[in-house]
Amino acid sequence: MPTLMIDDRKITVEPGTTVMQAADRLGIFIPRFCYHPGLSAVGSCRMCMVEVEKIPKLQTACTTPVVEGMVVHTYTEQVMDARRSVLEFLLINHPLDCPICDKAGECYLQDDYMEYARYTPRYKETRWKKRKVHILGPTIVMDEERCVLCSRCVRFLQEVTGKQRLGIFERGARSVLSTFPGQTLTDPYCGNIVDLCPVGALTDRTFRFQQRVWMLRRGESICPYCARGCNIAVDYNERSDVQINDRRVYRFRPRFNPKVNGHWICDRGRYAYRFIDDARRLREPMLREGKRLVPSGWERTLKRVARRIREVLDTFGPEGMGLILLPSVTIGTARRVRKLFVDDLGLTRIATGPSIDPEADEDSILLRRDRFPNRGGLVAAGFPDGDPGAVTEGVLRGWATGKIKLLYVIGDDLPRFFEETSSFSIPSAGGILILQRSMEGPEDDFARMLLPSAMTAETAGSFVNFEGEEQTFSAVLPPLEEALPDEEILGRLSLLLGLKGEEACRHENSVEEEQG
Amino acid sequence: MSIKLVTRNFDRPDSHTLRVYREGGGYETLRKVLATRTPQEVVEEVKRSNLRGRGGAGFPTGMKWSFVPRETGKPVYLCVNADEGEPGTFKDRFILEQDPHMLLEGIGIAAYAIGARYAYLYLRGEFVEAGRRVEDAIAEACEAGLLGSDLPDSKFSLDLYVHYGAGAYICGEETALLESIEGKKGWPRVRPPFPAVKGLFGSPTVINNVETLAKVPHILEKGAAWFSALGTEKSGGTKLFPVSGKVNRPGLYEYPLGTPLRTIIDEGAGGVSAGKKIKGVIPGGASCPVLTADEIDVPMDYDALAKVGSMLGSGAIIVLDEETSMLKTLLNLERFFAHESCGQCTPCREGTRWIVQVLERIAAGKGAPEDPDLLLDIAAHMAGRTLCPLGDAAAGPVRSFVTKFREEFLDPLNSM
Repeated sequence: MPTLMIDDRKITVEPGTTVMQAADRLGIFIPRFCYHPGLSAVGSCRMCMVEVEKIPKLQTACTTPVVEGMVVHTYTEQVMDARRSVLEFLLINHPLDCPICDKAGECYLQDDYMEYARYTPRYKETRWKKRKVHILGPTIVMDEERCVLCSRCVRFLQEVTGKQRLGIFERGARSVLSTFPGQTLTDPYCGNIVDLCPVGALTDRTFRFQQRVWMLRRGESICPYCARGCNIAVDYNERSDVQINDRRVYRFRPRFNPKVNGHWICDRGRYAYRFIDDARRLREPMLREGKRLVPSGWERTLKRVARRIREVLDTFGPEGMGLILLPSVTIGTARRVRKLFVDDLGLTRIATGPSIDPEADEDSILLRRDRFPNRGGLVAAGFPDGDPGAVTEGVLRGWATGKIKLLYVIGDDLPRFFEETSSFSIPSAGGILILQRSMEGPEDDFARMLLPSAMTAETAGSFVNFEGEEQTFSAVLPPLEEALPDEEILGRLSLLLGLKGEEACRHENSVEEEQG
Repeated sequence: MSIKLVTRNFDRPDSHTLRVYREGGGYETLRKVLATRTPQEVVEEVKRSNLRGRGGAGFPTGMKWSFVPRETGKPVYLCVNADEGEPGTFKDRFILEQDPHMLLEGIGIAAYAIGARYAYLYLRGEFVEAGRRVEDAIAEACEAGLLGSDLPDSKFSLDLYVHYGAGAYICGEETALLESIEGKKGWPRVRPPFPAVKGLFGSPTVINNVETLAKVPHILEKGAAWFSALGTEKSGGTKLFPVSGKVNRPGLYEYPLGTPLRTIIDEGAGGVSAGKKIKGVIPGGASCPVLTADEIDVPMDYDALAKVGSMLGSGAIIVLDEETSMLKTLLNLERFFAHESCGQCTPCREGTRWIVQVLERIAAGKGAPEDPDLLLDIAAHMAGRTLCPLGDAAAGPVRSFVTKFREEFLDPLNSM
């Protein structure tokens, strides 16, 4: 285990560690463009050059392996001179369009310019003109003049997704990043190259010109769109004036977690940010009156739900009611469902949804075929594992044949599986369908009650991913309009059902306020 | 005094054929080496000969061979660098065209010494004639049982492939060359790892220049002591010197290392043409800092040239006479480097173009008094700070030309 000194601080690291990695571990920041901890190191931008005692030339920190007794200096006059000169070279052809650049505020070039640059430019020749708008794919657009040719995006696609989609063409100062002829960036991880781009060369077409990044707040959550449970950052504007809401989510980005998702997320999860403020979100509790669903407020709606449940249970017993709890809910919600419906009401016809969407794809990178984030959490809350698909089929058959008079569905993202094997249409014998979820769906046409739930980013809780990793998260945003977290809806419902043995309900006060 | 080793057959008719090469004892050394010497002995012999790489960097050849790790379970590759493309340099091309068998014999001995079963000859794409000669020579040698698989009376086998470059100077840089053979864009690799440990296809690899390998049969034939004694203490043997520019007899001359530059120009190349005076000499190809007329008594060897702030490089001597414009000469050289910069690393990609732009502006009569210092500063920030030696190659001429001939880089109107 070699020990070295960086800026007079001692650190011992595993053999094979680079100076950059050792410095990062010490919290000593060495500026970089091409180096990224999730990719191979190529030492091409030359921004990370540092002084190593006994070596006459400056060395690139990202490619220099540590050696026992090495003494590194990251802040000498020679190092600063090198940084100044690399920036001067990079800025020769870089347009000064920060005011309209989406990367402004989180751009390495901007940051480094403020810190190290030579403020008076010496370059008086003619700048190179390149394409300002080059569409690389459905979600990615390229500004060739802003590119610093660090090749992070090229290496990401090559090394992480295994696809050679991007290359740097031509030579010397004529070099330009592009897709290979006839190819477009449609791979399901492309969004990562926008995060990776240290400057404003690659931008996201869904984010382009939407917001200045300093107007956004960042919250931390877990992606709920498959069993991986990638760690995400939720970037939102608290006071957006362009939307009907008083807030709006503008993007999801990955948060590094070596145990779950590394540095990346897939595009399926990334672009799901749009669902949070989507027009199809359920915004208020609704009751069916004739052919129409009518906004009815939480108190009236939940009272009606409680009354119907009581009626069915009193008349038909626990077999008369079915429950589908999808693994999109938190462990806390699952525990509350178990307490309320299994322990207190004695329900037996309970399903947790099929684990596999037959049309979903899975890859060896992140994406799992099981599109639910918390199957493990449901097991932890006492629901059976095994073949939930068959159980779900059973419940749906009971509903279709009229044996189940009331069906209560909790959770979002009903997979296509359901629509193909059965349907939620009202069986001829009649029945009461209650849907508690976040988004509108075709099944709403048959629902008697709609209970709008908060989405994951609006909820605190925890998920257990497919590898058994439990991840806790807090609410980034308040729920949209009238929506409430599942746990709170169930808490209110259990009070209305008069279950006095219910454990302390955190929302008791607010329910009473509403009732009063 | 000129000594003919590598060039000894050049004047004979059909020098490129196996028949002529064998008439002079060709391939006898390879046969003897395979029969009587161990690979380790060959490496030691080459080490003792003080043979240094003739491609430009001058790294001791025997030492390079000895860096190859044994028994890694991976194949060892020998790559022959025949991507000769630096302005002024035309020595390897002569070997390839005039005596390809001498090169092949050297390749055979080198492959035996390092344990390579496969070798690649990376040939500059424009060398059409050389390519034809080399491929013919390989066919002849294979047919004669001198190269190829399962050679008679020996456990040694060698398959040699000719890989044509596509016209990039940078592919003569050894790691870019490896990338190119692997079918990728010719971008130099970061070191470490060095090719000796992780080279072609991730395997231990030795990359040698054509001239270097053409010297090897002579060393094994006549001995390390004999070869070493031809040169200076630290630089053994002879060197090919392609001489061009303002001389009476431009051409390729072979001299022992340490021969004074003036001797090669006057005795070999017949002196400066039209009785003009020398203004400067580039001693080792486009990337080597220029020498002034006062400096041309320097002995042509690695150390002596380093002492006067230049390099032996490829040994290509370009003579500039009193009428030569140093501004235009430097602009010509720098246009080459800007054109050939691979673009991977920042200082070389941007610096080479900037230098050209400043020189073009001065040449257009729009120079500024601060331009010479600006040029020196740009070059200073490229030298030693790039991923591969091309940055140094482009910076060296700027620093030497502008320092030694500063007045030519000032706009005449501005500097008056």
